Formats: sequence, C-alpha cells, structure tokens
Amino acid sequence: MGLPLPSILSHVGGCVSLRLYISVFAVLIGSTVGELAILGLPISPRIAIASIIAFAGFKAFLIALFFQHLKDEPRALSSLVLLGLIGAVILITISLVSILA
Amino acid sequence: MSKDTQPPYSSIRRWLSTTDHKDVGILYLVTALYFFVAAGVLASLMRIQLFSPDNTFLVATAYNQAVTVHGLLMVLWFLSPFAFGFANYVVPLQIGARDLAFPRLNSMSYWLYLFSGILMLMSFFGGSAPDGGWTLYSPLTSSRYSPFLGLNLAAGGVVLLVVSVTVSSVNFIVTILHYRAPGMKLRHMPMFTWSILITVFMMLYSFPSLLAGVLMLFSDRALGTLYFSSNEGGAILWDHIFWFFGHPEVYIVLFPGIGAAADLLPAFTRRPLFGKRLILMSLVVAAVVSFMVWGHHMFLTGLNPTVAKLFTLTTVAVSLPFDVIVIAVIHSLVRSKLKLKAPALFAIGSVVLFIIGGITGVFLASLALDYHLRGTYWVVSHFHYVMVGGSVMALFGALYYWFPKITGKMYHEGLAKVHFLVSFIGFNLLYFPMYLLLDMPRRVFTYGADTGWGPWNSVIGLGGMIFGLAQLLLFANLLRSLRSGAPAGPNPWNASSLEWSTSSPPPENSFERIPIISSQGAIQYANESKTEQVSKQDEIGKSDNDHPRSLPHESHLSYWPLIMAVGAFTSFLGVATILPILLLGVALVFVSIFGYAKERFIVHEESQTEKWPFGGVPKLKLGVWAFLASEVIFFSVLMSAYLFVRMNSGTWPAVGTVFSIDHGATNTFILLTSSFTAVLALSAAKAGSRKGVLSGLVVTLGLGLVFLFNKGLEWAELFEHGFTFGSGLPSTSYFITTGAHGFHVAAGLIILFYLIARAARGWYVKGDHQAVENFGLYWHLVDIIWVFLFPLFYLM
Repeated sequence: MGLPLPSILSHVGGCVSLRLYISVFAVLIGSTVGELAILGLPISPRIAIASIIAFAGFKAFLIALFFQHLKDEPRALSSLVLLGLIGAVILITISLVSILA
Repeated sequence: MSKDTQPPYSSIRRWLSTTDHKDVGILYLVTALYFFVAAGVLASLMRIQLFSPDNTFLVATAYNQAVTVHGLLMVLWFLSPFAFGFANYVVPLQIGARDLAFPRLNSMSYWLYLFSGILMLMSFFGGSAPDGGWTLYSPLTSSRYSPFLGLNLAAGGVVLLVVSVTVSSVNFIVTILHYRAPGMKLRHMPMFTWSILITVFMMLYSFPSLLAGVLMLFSDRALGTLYFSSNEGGAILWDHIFWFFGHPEVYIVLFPGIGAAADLLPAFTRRPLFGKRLILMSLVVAAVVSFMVWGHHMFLTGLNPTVAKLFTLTTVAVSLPFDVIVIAVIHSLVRSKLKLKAPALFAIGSVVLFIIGGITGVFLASLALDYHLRGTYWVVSHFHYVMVGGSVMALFGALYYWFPKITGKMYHEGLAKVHFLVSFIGFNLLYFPMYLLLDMPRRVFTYGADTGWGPWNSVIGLGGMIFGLAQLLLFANLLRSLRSGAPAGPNPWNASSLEWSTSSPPPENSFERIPIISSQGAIQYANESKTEQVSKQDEIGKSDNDHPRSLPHESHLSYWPLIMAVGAFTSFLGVATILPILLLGVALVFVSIFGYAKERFIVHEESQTEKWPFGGVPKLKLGVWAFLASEVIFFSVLMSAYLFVRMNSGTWPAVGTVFSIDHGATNTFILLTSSFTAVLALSAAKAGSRKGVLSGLVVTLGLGLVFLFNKGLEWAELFEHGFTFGSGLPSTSYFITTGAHGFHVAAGLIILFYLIARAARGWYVKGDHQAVENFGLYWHLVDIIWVFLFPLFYLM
C-alpha cells in the first residue's frame, strides 16, 4: 500500500484482500464511534435506540460478509445461518408482542 | 488408543470404543429401549395410582415425580434417540456412505446421551426427582417450590443431552449433504433419510432454546438470578422459551416415524410411494410452520389477543401438510397388493392412530375449545395418539423392518403380528377413554369416587397393562430371533433402497464397493481404486487431501469419545454437587480433548460424493457453520429473555449508571480488533507466511485475554457495589448473558492455544489452513454476538 506495515500485516498475502480487511475494520471502528456519538445527540430515545440497533446490525452484516466471507460462499451456507436468524427474530418479536396489552 | 481392527461383537472393548455408525446405532437402539422400559415402569406406577378413586398407592410427591420423569424420559431419552438409532445404522447405508462424517463425534454423541440419561435417573437420589411436569414449568421448578438437588442433576442431564443432540445434528447434516454416493441426488434419497435431514435441521434450531432456558433455570436455582422467580419474567417467559423448543420437538419425534413408514410401505405394497415429492414438501412446510405455533400452548396465559389469533391460524395451518401426507399414504395403499407383514401392520396402524391424534389436536387450535380442553385428559390422549401412536408404532415397524439388516436374522412373524395386535388393542384401551375424560384435570394424583371417573380410569389402567405386557412379546421375539432366527439374506423384503444392496449385517465398511446411482436411481458399483482416496481427518486442521497415502484400514475404535463424555458427566455432577468433582471432570475433559486431538484416526474419504448444495464447502467448515446457526438461536433466546424482562419492568437503570460505557466500548474495540487479526492470520496462512499466521493468532489470543480481563474487572467492580446475580433483573440478564458470551470467548481462547502450538510447528501454511478459517468463523460469531450485547446492555 506504499506505507510501512506492522509486522502482523507485512506477512499477509493478497494486497486487495488486505486493503478490504483494513477498510472493513475501519468502518467497524467508525460505526462503534458512531454508536457512542448517538448517545450525545439531542434526539428522541426511540430514534437513538433504532439508530444504535441499525449500527449493530450493519456491523454484524459486515463481519459476516467480509470476515466470515459469506459473500464468497454458496448461497445455501448463508441460508443456514439466515434460517437461524429468522427463527430468532420470530421468537423475539412474538414473545415481546405477546405481552403488549 | 485407536486400532484398525475391530474386536468381535462379544468383546466389551468393541462396545466401549466403537465409532462405527452401525455399532453406535445398535447402542442407541438398546439404550433407548432401556429408557423406554424405565419410563414405562413409571407410567405403570401412575396408572396403578389412578386405577381407582381415593387410591393411596402413591403419595402426591411420588406421583408427581413419576409423571414428570416418565414424560422427560419418553420424549427426550426414548423417542428421538430410538429414531436416531435407526438413523445411525441406516442413513449412511441409504446414501451409500461408509460412515458418518465425524465418526468419533458420533460416538461422543452417544456417550453424552447415555450419561445425560444417567444424570436424569440419578435425580431420584437427590432428594426428589423433578416433579413439575415434563415441561419443567416455572415457578414449580424454582428453588422455592423444588429445593432439591435432584432438579439440578436433571437440569445437568438435559444440558448434556442438548450437547449430544447438537453434535449429532451437525454430524447428520454434514453426512447427508456431503457424503451421498456418486450420482445420488437429493431427490434419490429414501424417505427415511429425508425425514432425518429435516429432523436434524429442526433439532439444530429448536434445542438451543431448551439449552438457554435450562441454563437460565439453573442459574436461578444455583446463583439466585431472577429470570423465572420474578413477575417480569416468571412463568410466561419460561413458556415462550420452552414451547419455542417444545412444539417443534413434537415433529422432531414424529418425522422419523413418518419417514420410516413411508420407506417401508412400498416394500409391502410392491409399488412406489404415491406423491413422494408432495410428502417431502409437506414435511418441510410443517417443519417451518412448527416454529410459529408455540403460542397455542399458552392460550390460557393472558396472551395478547391478536397474537393468540395469529397462533390459531398457524396451528390450523400446520395441520394441513399432515393432511396431505396422510392422503398420500392412504392413496399408496389403495388397490395395492399389500402384504400384511408386521412392519406394514405397524406402519398402517401408526397412520390410523395418527389420524385420530391429529384430528383431536385441531380442536386445540381453537381459542374457545382450548379454554375447556387445556389441562384435561383430552390433551393427554391427543399427544399420546400423536407421539406414541404416530411415532412409536411406526418405529416399531421400522424395528421389524430393519432387524434382518442389522442382525442378519429374521424375526418371528407370527409373534410380531401378535405383538402388533395386542399393542393396538392395549393402546386404544389405554388412550381412547381419555378423550371421554375431558372433564378430568390431567395433573391430579387422585380423585374422589363421586367424580364418576373411576370406571374409565380402570379401563385405562387395564389398557396400560395390556400395552405394557405386549412389549414383552417384542423383546422375547427379538432375543429369540437374534439367537435362532432364520438367515435373512441381504434383501428379505425385495426393497429397493441402497441399504438392501449390501449383506446383512453389512461388512465393516458397509459396502464392498462404492455404489453409484444412475440418473434413474438404479444402483451400480464402481471400481474402488478409481473413486477412493484415503485421508486422515476428523481432526481440526488435519484435512490431508494433499497427503494421499495407501493405508488399507480405517479406524473404527477410539476411547476418547467415552472419556470425554465421562469428563462432561463428572463436570455436570460436580456443578450440581461439590467443587472437587467438578475439577476432576474438567481435568478429564481437558485430557480427553488433548488425547482426541493427538490420536491418529483414519477414515476413508471418497472423492466423488454428491455435495449439492454445498459443493466446494469442506465438510468441517459446513459443520462449523451448522453449529454456528444453533449458536445464533442460543444467544437470541438469551437476548429475547433480556428484552422480555426489560419490557415488562417498570424501571430500568439509565444508560451509564450501572454498566460502564467505558468498559463496554473498550471491549467492543478489543473484540473488533481481534476479529481483524483473526482474519489477517487466515490471510497469512493462505499466503504461506508462517510468521504472519503465528503473529495473527498470538495477537488475537492476547486481545481475547485482555477482553476477559476487562470483563473480569467490570464484574468485580459491579460486585463491589453490591450489584450481584440476584440484585434485580438488570443484573440477572447482564451477568448471565455476558457470562455465556465470556464462556464462548474462553472456549475460543483454548482453541487458539492449540492453533498457536501447531502454527509454531509450521502448520497451516501449506494449503492446510482450514483450521484457522474454521476458528475464525467461530471467533467472528462471538464478535457479532458482542456487537449486539454492547448496545443492548450499555447504550440503551
């Protein structure tokens, strides 16, 4: 990348993937800073919570896609996890709605 | 410890160390039948007590223990394991595989299952066995109402069982999707294998809910947390968690029976099953919808009316696929040249009983009817018609059907038919009158003469006795036939599926030559040398496709699965009793992990197996992903419990007042960075850089340790300020959820130590980076979980 790399990075092969990993990592850190920054914003708690959860979902998506390489895997493999995720959403949603008056 | 040559069947060494799927299948079958008898004896005690009004045969607490353990044993330790005995034996044969994908893990699943059952039975010696019903309803299972050690032992048994089930599910998923004989497309798979595939997916997604629930229950009892003893969580929270597992569980025990019946009937009707594709689609639809019907078990709990209506709709909807299945099976029988052999009788009997159980279940979907029927003997009868009538009868048919394959001997046909007839009569005498007792509460240990329930209960008792004694005919038949049955030959039924193309019992490696399936489903055999390579695998990082060798034997023996299971059993016994036992158990687990990893265990790896839809995905990676899918459910249940109690609570600590944002944010940055270094380690491994792999793994390990240290500091600070497990629901949910996450981090670090030790010796840089990749998948999931825990506990 034209910059001196720490020893851990200097042995990593594939400049493209290295650049991609660094970019994803930077976005993850940035998103976490974003989550923290939301706390200080003068917005309603509902919007703040929704934004923070959205950030968390975005981070999880990035990790799954690029660090777990789901983007390169057969769709069936993503479906395996997606099914679990759908089950989780069903359980969380219905159990919470069930206690609403 | 492994040896290549199998000892004879008479050798105890063989049974303690076998990893052969056929032997493991037999172990499952025999053990499951043992639990069937144990649970049956408990049922007899209940029926004797209820035989007449005002009976004093059992006191209330003894009755409650009998009914609870009967239910737990039958549902969790008999029905599914019995089906999985057949699955172990038959599925690899039906798909043309030599064994399951991970033979040692398969053996470990069995031993964990056995020891989990022993823990459950030991609960009788811990003051009192569980006595709150098989559903372990809260608050009956709380320390307040059930303060005995027995329930802790039983909880340990359930946790061990879930571990066994999860390992087994992953194993079957990988086996069926990765080890089908060349040419065997999914559409060629026999119905039984299909039913097992669908069942293991349901297990994978439902059992983590039971695991999370039981862990929360155990923490309530042992640590004083408040999940189920508080008004904000309590019985309703338990209901949601339990029935999210519980309803799919009904189909988990039912589907293998349907699959077996659908498999064996064509052998006796001499024509193909009608509507196989339709039946498969129906099973898949029922499996999916089964995760959306659990609320009908909670109609009387004050459920939100809109949600209750939704559950009514889904419950009615889930009955429709079964209508299709029943009609297809009946159509297969109509005008066929049916040979009424014992397996066919049991299969047809199971369909008849399932129809009765299914129809009477539809009534329970109605809110209005459920209000009257819930908690009465109507429900008891309904689920016994489904689970015993629909499932056990079909599996008894399967037992007769595959007995010749397993033993090489024919059973006594006359005795088997008498067994069916007496069972069928006894079953209906036992359970049908319960429909007529729809005003009798199901959870009473005695009743007065003035109720008028006495005569029917006497009939039921008589039916129970007949049904129980009928099973002696089964055992007598099997034992007699095993000793002196006529030789069966490879295919006594002229059946067409692959297991019948090999000898009875099959040879050590199941097939003499590798079967190949034509596009029409016909069986051919390959020249072995062209289609096979031998590899050493079944260990992290030991995929040796790049090291072909000519080892003629494959390993079938290992003691490490047994030792590991003994270690896990001892650990759970220690958790429930005293620390030294726990330490001994943990030490055993560590020793066995080390021995397991070091052991030279050889299995054959065919190179041309059918892998759709996972072609290109290595088997271990597929297994890891399947496991991670179950982890998603496990943590989602914990988060769901957190959100549930939080929404139900009037107040909750403001952001930053209890849980330090600094600690949470620091740990988030640490874990995200560790994910980054883990992926760099993989990248370095792919690039062949030993130093890069090593430094990536070491930094990941360091960051993981810092994460745990920071978490420990945070916990210590909270404890110092009097914020402990039982301080309130915020602390309860925080400690248990982040504790479970921390446990996963610690487990990841143990794997990391192992990987680092190997990387230091030059592993993973010669195209054998799978272990680093698989570790990364796990580690990133642990990271993803934290990505959600951080905002939930620290920012909201």
